[in-house]
Amino acid sequence: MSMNKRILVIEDDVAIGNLFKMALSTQYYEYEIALDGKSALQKLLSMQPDVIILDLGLPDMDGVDVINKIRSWSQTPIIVVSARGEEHDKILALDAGADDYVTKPFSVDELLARIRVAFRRISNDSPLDKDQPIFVNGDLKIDYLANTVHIRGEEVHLTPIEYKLLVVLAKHVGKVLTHNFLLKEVWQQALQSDVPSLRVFMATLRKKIEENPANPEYIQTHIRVGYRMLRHEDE
Amino acid sequence: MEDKRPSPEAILAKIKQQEKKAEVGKLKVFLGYAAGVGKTYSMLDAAHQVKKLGMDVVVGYVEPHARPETAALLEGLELISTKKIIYKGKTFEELDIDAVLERKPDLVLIDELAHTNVPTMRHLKRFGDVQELLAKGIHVYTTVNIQHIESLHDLVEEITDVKVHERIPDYLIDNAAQIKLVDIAPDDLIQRLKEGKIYHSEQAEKAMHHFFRRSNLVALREIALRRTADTIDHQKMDEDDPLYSKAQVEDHILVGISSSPTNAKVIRTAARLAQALHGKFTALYVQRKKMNDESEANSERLQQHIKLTEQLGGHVVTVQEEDVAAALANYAQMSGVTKLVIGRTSTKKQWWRPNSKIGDRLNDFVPNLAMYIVPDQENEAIRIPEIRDQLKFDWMDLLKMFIVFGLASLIGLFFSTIGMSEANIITIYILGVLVLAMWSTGWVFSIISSLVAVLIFNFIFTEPRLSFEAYNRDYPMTFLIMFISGIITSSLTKKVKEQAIGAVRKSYRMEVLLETNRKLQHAKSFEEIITEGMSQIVKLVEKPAIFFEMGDQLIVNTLFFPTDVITNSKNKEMAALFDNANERAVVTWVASNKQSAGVSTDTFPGAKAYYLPFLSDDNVKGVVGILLSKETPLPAFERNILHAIMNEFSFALDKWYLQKSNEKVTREAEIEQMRANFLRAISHDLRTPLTSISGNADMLLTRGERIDETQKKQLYHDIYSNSKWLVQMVENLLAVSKLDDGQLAIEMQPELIEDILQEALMHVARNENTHHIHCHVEPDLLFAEMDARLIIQVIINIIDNALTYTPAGSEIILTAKEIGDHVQVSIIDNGPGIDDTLKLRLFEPFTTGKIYRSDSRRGLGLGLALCQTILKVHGSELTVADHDPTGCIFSFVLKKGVVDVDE
Repeated sequence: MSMNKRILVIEDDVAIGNLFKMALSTQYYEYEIALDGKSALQKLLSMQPDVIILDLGLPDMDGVDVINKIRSWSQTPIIVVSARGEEHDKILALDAGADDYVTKPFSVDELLARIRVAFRRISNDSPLDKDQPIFVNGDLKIDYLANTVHIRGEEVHLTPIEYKLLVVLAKHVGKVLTHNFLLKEVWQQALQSDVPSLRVFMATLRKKIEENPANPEYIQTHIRVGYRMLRHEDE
Repeated sequence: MEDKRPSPEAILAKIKQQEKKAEVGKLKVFLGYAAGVGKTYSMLDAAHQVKKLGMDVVVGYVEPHARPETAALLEGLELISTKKIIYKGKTFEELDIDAVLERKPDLVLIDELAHTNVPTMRHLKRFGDVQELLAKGIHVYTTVNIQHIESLHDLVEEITDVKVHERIPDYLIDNAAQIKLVDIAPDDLIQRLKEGKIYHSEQAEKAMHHFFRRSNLVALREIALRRTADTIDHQKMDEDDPLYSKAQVEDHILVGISSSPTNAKVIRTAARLAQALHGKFTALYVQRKKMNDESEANSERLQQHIKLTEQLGGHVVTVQEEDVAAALANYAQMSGVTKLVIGRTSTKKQWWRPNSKIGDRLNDFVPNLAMYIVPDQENEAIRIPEIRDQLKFDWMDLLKMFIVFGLASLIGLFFSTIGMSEANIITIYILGVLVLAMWSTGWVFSIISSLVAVLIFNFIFTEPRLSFEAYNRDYPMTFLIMFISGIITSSLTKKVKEQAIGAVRKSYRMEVLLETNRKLQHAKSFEEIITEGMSQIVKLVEKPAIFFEMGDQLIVNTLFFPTDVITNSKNKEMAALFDNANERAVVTWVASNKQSAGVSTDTFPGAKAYYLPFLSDDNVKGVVGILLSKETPLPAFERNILHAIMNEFSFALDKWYLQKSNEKVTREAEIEQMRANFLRAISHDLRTPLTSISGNADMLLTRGERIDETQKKQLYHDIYSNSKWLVQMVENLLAVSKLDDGQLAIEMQPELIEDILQEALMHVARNENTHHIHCHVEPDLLFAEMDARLIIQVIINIIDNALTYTPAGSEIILTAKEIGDHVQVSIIDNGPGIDDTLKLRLFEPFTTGKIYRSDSRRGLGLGLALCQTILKVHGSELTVADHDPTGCIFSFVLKKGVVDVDE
């Protein structure tokens, strides 16, 4: 099954490139490695990958510019690799259209998990799925027409903002959404001063949805970056 | 021989001053002695010449009724269209100053400097516009006639019998970069007038018999020529090396200010004298009795005189003294006055004061002082309102009189029954008059009370009793003496009382100033400085005031300070007055021009308040607004104190900024020290795990085939855990680098504590499930102000320590709870605890708990010191305490985050 899944790795460091090679070959993914932004864009056309892994620190181009170029014509999921302490770059990358990120140093398990999430996102992105009146993710069910939310079979009552937040997260399930993005979607404006209230709404929303808020199943917090709804495997 | 070479510092200061001068625009004045001499023509001609040289020239305003030759010269010059203002049904054309400011030419031509603007304009006078343009670095050419110059006003009036209303202060001419006298022989001017080149024929005919008489013109021309020559001299003096000019004895001219209508003339004379002698010019105002007693017209005139003095370059000093002559003499002696100018008073000699004329009395006081006496005939007129004021009768005073004399009569009766002499009874009545003088108001009352005392005494105590007749021949004399001594004692008492009130008022204001100084010294923050300073201003002026905090010439914050003199609702009403676009526009103007404006100034005189810029280090930090009405401007003394308070205020702020930057330097030094220590320790600490990693990897590479699987597994594990430890080290290094960037890099935000604790747990380096870690937050949704990354780092370090120094199976509990305005975060373990001696040095760098270390591979040593530094930056502190029964508690507090949630 993994045989036909193609991954493009854009990474200039040879040692980390080798790590990617080994990790990807254990899963029998098809992969190619591009050492800089220019060759990456060429390979992108010839290879038509299913997922792109992009290191933000490239020798010839700014990582965010690469994302902008890719996003101008392709919706292929992009996983960004960045060092810790570079939240700002990470947020820029996510706002530019990256789907997810891993922080250096990362474990191989974590990387492979992120890749699987990305693949799942592709399958969810089919146009049919988007127009579905009902969204189902594990035990979470949102009925867009009736504006109701069920968790583990029981209806939960959400405030209008909580509901809006949940819908935005659901529409982008699997993708890390930045604070700015969420603020714009829900409040129509993105003021940095609104981030704390966003946190409050997220926390109350999580209290209503999660069985154990300390170990969330549905909504993941990314400190200083944003939030993501996790995709659950269909049983 | 005296060394007259200036010091290098003096030269530098001069260059600096010249540079500053270069930033502002230069004024060139085309001065004429009458209309029609060709001022506008030569101004336009000059403009064409500089335009040819490549200067950007525009015409801001030229009189529309220009003569044909002049109008022709307008060709080829860019005109800024004038502003049309409809005022009281008439249309006026005025200079559009905002359009000129926006156009920003090098040079602007503005005709008729002395013009008075329509009241709705920003400046009362056109020269206000010109000054603003100059301050903004735009050069100005302007025209003016000699009779408009303030100090020459009386001279011109005397010669021509024409009173000139539109006048400009002398300093405008004196400070002009260049003056061009536009001169033409009087005969030629009359010829021009006859040809109808100046006015239409009818008007010309009329003019020829009035203003344009040949004798007038000759005199005016002479004044103009002299004034120009004076100015040139004046400028030359200014440019002279200060060391040279100081060598000369400086003349100091003193003039007395009063509210007399003719005083203005005296002031102008003094100013002309000061100018001719290039001397210092001081005006003394002698404040007598209560200011409030004076009529409104008088006090307004006095304000005008003070303003006039300031315009003429004089310095106003106020003293409190009953005797004007004595005050003038005292001041003259103390301040080294060389010449005194006074108006001639026509008060008649009075029999009890042989030398009642100020001039004569001054001569007695300071016989060696040169005095100039200016004819001042109208002086008597002003006495009337004062006397009328004193005639004011208060019914309360009458009541007081009844009480006092009633008591006096009772005591008198008692004295007479026990047979004491009449002399004692008279003394009782005089005592009553004295008490009344202290107790009551109004001079006339002293006379009445003296008279009444005599009458009562006569009525009750002289034979025949209970009648106004007196049998004894001596009585009339007794009554007269009693009456006179009554008047003298009461007037002396009154005088003492009034002086005491005046002194109290003055000392109250001085007290306010001293208090300001003291309070500002103690103010610790910007807000405190503003609050203290403003409260002092309110206390001084007894009017509500407002502070506009300015940032980038925009109002960023306003603070209103009410006065307790009026009621709260009235204060609120006043506060509302500030809240409109007009007042705000004035405030922004004040901030961008660094000049005061509003009530009692010539700029925006229609505003509701008096606005002063608040400068610190030559930057406008704020604007102070004081609610004043046109009718009650600030008296000169108050204004001086106000300016002194403003100065104190600025000093305090300068000092505060300095202190702040010092604190910053100290903190930076602390962080720098911390970083240096860290780097020294790190090179040692890095070596240990790196040796292990490279050694183990080398072993696997070269001897991999000779090692069995379990040994290999151990090597892999060591490499992994050592590298994990290195990652943690790098995180700490990053935190240090962030601290090194100073306060700017630290991003304080309200963060959800739960999220922070979860995130920290995810990054704990050696979480190999050997310990039980619990997390407990009370209440839900607890926010704290922090830099998330740094605080996460603190928690990680503390948990890592707990993992390192407690045996496997120990419990680690993370708690966060709300304590008042703060959030307390604690990390508790039930390990062996920390030795008390170690506790003391725990947060110093390079301290490791060697004795209790569960593995002796490495000592971080800096982790807790870094935590302490991070918390210090957060205004907090890391503390350690014993946990019962065993273990320890690390805790710190953070400011609770306030989050408004509106749905």
